[in-house]
Amino acid sequence: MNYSADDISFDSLGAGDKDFLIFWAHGWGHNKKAFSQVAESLQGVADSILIDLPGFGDSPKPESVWGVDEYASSICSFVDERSKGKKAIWVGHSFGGSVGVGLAGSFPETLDGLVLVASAGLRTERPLAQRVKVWIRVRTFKLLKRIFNLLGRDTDSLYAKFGSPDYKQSGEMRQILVRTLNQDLSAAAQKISCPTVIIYGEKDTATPPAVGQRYSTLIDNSEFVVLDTLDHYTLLSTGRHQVAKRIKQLIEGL
Amino acid sequence: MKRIAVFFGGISPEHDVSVISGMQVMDALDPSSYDVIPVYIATSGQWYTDPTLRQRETYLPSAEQFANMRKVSLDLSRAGKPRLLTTEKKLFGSQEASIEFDVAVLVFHGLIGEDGNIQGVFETANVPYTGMRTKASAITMDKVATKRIIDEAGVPILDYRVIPRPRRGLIVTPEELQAQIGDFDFPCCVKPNHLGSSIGVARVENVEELSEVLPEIFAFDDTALLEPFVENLVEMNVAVKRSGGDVVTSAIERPKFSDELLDFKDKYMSGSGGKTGQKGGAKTPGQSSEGMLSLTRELNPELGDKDQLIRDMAAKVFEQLDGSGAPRLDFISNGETGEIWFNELNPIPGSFGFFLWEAAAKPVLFAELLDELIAEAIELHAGRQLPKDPTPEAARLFNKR
Repeated sequence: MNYSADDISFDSLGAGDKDFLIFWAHGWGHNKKAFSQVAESLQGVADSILIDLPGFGDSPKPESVWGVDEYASSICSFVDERSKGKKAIWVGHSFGGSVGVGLAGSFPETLDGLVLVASAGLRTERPLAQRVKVWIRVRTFKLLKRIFNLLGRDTDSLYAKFGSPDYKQSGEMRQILVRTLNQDLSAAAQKISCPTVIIYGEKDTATPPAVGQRYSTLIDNSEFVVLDTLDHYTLLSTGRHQVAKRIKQLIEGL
Repeated sequence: MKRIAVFFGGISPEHDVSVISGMQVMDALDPSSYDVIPVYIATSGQWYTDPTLRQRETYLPSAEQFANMRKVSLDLSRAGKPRLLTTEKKLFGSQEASIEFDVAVLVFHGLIGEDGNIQGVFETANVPYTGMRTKASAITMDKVATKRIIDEAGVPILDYRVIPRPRRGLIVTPEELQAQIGDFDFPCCVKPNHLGSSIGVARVENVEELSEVLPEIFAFDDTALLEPFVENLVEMNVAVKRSGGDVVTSAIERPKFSDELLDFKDKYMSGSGGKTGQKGGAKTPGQSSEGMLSLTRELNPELGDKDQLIRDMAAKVFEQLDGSGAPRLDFISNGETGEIWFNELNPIPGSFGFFLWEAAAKPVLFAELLDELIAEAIELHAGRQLPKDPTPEAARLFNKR
């Protein structure tokens, strides 16, 4: 894996005089700006490093098809280097949460606290109607793809029609998206020992609260919060004050 | 779960700013502790409640959305829990209904709403409400009254003259003005006595210019205030609240300020206007473009021994006024001479000044600030309750009720 900690692009916030350092990791397709307002709110509590995960923002793309493990190990030395003498907290949204689970599970010494905001990484049982819908969609897509291939036609239009927004926009990162989406992080979650706060939005359909519920049963030292009226994205905008409050409470307990 | 009614909007020049602050407050109230009831007071004076009042789109110019909204009023009868009165549509006609709540969070800026009028309504209705009480709100909305009281506490204020609106019309001639202000030195700064947000504030070089700008002030306010123009002006703002038995202060902010005074739009919309002058203290940081905050203000500036001096002065003013809530106090200074004066107190600062508390020595997040203000509202309310029969024995003219 030819990815060094120096390749990772990030923004720092704060004078560096706090005892706590928060690493903020965005979701799929976002970049280091995603958490900037929440980080700004917590400037009196902790210093911050807002990361562009490899392949996003200004951080170069990984050269191979990474999974969550590769993301975690590439970021581990980056976190270790910068958090010397400080307590390190990882706050990850969606995909950034998955990376946090990988990091805290595989490298228990690296983090002192973990916050999962609408984190991905666990497959959830969808309601029957939705399962049927997805099954039909997937079968239709596969059938059409075979027909298109037989006819020698380009399948891009099919991907555009049937893929999720993340999938459609992922371009060269598509294989990484597929690989990470298909990973189940249960085993990594069970190995997490640091205090963890798990925050989900009640209206989130991308990573519904059921995912958080499962994380909370897998992670021993965890607290699970469901915030009414918020969804996958509004957790970071209108919900930012609630997220900041939970992060501060976690830090005060460390 | 407490039911929190958030009141905002209002008949005020700062109506729109209040809507933004109101939405921010509703977002910052912790949903695991509170149920939020939005109560919007339109510029027409009509009160509404509806879940969509939490969304920005609701306020885009088109009155249609309000046509089907539930109209409410406050029950002033003091009978039982605080409640809003409304009507419910039934199959045949409509029926009276009520919406109970525990605490009113007041998010008004300027005039009715911030000047004690609304506070008095909630006192009358015996409803716990956040912020300054009626008397303190009424005093601080009047810059001249505030000056008189603060002067008594020994906190430095700028010298001033008061110019009342003429009985008829808006024009005061230079000759009349000269008689009123005597030998007051120019250049001066003239401002409306009651309005905030720099509305109508102007620098004037002589009595003729003063006469020219006054009608604009008198269109909105019945009194104008004249102060010496402070050279090398540096502004410093700090918020104050009680915490336990102590008075605590927030971070100090120094709005970045260009060489001339600015009008309202520059103050609030400097992100979009592209004008050169930018003055901070903007009321809506959450709505500003990225990085706007640091562009318009400096938090915790290096002030040496002035830092403690400002904090002490702020706490003194707050105590002198019997303060509650988390008002923001604005100080002005001559950057060259180092003199500092108390300028004004804003009982309900935009966005509740949450960014000042986030950056305080002991940081308080917006959600936590609201928790504290609500707890204080309940405490102050409990402290003001009268006995069940408020007529003392000696004052009774009828048999015991």
